[in-house]
Amino acid sequence: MSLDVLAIILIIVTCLSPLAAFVAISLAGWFGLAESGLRRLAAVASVGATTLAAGGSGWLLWLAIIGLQTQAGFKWASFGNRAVELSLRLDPLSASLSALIATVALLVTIYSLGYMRDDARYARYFACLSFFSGAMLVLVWSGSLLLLYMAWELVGLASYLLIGYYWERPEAGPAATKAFLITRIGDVGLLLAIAALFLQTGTFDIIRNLEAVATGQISGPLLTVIALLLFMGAAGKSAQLPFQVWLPDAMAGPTPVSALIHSATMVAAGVYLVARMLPLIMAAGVAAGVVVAIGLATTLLASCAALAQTELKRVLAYSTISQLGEMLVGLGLGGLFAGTYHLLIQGLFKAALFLAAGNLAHALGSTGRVEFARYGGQGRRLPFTRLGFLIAGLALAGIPITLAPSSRDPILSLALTRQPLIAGLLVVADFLTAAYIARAFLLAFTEAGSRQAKTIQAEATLSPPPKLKETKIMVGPLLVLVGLVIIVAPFGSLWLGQPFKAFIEPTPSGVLALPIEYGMEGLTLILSLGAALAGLAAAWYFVGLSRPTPTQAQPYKVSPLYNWVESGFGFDTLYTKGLEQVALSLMQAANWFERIVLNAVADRLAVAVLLGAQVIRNFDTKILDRAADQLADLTLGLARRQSDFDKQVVDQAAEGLAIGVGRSSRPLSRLQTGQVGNYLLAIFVWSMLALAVSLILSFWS
Amino acid sequence: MGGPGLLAYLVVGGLLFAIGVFAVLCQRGAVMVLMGIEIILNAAILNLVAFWRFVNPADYAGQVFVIIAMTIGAVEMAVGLGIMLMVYRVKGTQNIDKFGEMKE
Repeated sequence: MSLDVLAIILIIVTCLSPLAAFVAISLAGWFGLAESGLRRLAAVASVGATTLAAGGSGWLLWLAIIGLQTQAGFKWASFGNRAVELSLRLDPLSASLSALIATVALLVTIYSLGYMRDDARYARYFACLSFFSGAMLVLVWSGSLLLLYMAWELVGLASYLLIGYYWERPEAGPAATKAFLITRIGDVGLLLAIAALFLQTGTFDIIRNLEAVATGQISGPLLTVIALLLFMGAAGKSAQLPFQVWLPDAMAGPTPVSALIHSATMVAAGVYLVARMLPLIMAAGVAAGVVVAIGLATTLLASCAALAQTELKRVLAYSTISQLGEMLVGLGLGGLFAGTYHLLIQGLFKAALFLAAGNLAHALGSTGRVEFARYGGQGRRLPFTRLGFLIAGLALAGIPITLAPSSRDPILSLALTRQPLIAGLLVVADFLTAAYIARAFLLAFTEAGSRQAKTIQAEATLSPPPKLKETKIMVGPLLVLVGLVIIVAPFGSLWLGQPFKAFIEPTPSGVLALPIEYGMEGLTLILSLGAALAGLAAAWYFVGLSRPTPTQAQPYKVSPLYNWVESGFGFDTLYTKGLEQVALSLMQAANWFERIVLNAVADRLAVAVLLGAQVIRNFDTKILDRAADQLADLTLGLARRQSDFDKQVVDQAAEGLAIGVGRSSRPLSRLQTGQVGNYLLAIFVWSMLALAVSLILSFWS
Repeated sequence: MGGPGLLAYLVVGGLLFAIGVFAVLCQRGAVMVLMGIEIILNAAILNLVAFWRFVNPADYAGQVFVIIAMTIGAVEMAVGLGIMLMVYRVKGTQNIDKFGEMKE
């Protein structure tokens, strides 16, 4: 068996095993397997499937590392001379993404065994989770845009199901609908872009489309439009401006799902799409600039918003939005390595952060929310969770915990060589990132947080459970993820020669290569480390050292400005108000049109009718009346003579006719029964008769 | 080309049509009648696509036409089910024998 065939079989196994688990669990539930058996099946099937997927991904990653690149597909349909192919593709990008997805999915599934243990819809949860990871795996392995789009929509559907999982909670349903609809707006752009590419090149194959761009088959304004539409889809999925509003609300789902959404599946899809189509986006000059600008704006806004949140998971949600923005800045500057490296490492430590938050929420017995004001400082009673959050948080802040400096460094270094302004803003974002994650850690996991919580809740009505404990099955995946951050991060580290860069951005050759120079590594390191340390220090100064005084009883939600930032810069209100305004102005316009135009026309019409009526009345009284009088006299004379004839002849005839019609129509009227079935039968019989007659006639001639 | 020939598709289409007509005429449930109509529509679509495949496969107008017909079928079902839902809410039954309003 050649390696190519092996790779394709491995890809199919990797993609299909989670989907098969989904089908198996659903069928078992459908056929009414007993509750305990169903739970066992769900657990075994989804853990087994994700293990298989993780193993397959690891093997495929190894194949990619030894230099294998392959693609295999089949013709799905053909339209005239245009063939629609679905294909799977193994290359460094898909292999590394798949390894991330399968690993995080496996750990999250294991974690869920503990987190969802007491849930009533246990099997349903695991079915959806397997479906989610399976769809995402298909998305990254797809070699054709059409298959990618199908998987893209499946991921959207799965996220809808999982965000709305606790449908009995009032916030879950709207959050799921919001996520689905807002990403759907972006999906329209993606669909249009794919259709435009197919019309231009006649193929859905990703690589052939990219080659068509590289050889100049598509260029000019059309290329820019396609690139922008593609980016619209990516921005919707990756929660970038102006679509970022859905992600913070997506917290309504179970916390392990948030871990999956925020790291490996769903939001990673948008960044992956941009990375995959990077040669196209770079070829369309303006589009790359748009990607950088939107990414940068999103990063800054979201990290400010993260600094103001009062709940742990929302801090992490805004953090994800801002980190995704940074990845897009890196990609928009042409750095495939910069963007992808941060995507991978962020996926690992963000999943770890969410699992830690989930641990805390689970131990506290809350519904997944960890409000600082209520549970501040409780995290210090969970030593392993605290350790995991600390290490993952330091990785997010950009402190070199192991051999690797911040995973954002390649992006910063790229920006420094290109445009110092971008680099400056990125340093600000780095500072904010370190500050918000340190603030979240201090508030949730240290003494400082419980002091704050006590000042806010002086009455202490909400006494936390006396003893918090960590479940082994939930601490394990968290610590493994943290370990993976420590192991994997150095592969992109400068100090080890960046082997990941050589892997994902092979030496410039061929039309698809994007020769990119990274530079000023020393300055990058100083800037990012400085920003991170400054951020930590600021958080320590403002949160860690604050001694509550009686006047400081309400430190949260003091100013309107704070509320505005906390609400994510009021985008939700803006959109709601904006839509209301649009509807309102439409109504006003309609009202104005009715009052001014229609009323005026109606008035004129009425006056004209009135005038006409007067004219007719004059004509009537003067001329017609006189004529009528004379006509009446004449008629009277005639009528007298006719009435005899009428009574004797015509009346008889009419009566007879009426009776005849009445009698003959009675059977016909019975046909109108009002019953749909009878009518349908009549239609059918008559059509058959018509058919028969036409057949006979055609045989005749 | 291989595989079954035109006749096989037409036979399946004819059978589908007959099943659909049977459902439409014999089912009392309004939803089942709608499903019968849908089966009839699909029989027609199957014939259409079979003729496209065997008579003029180079011209993809046949395929496009089929997709449009499927879309229209879906829309029709949505409208039909919507009407049936409202009727059910008003009358509390979906048995079409109970609907006599079309008389008069």
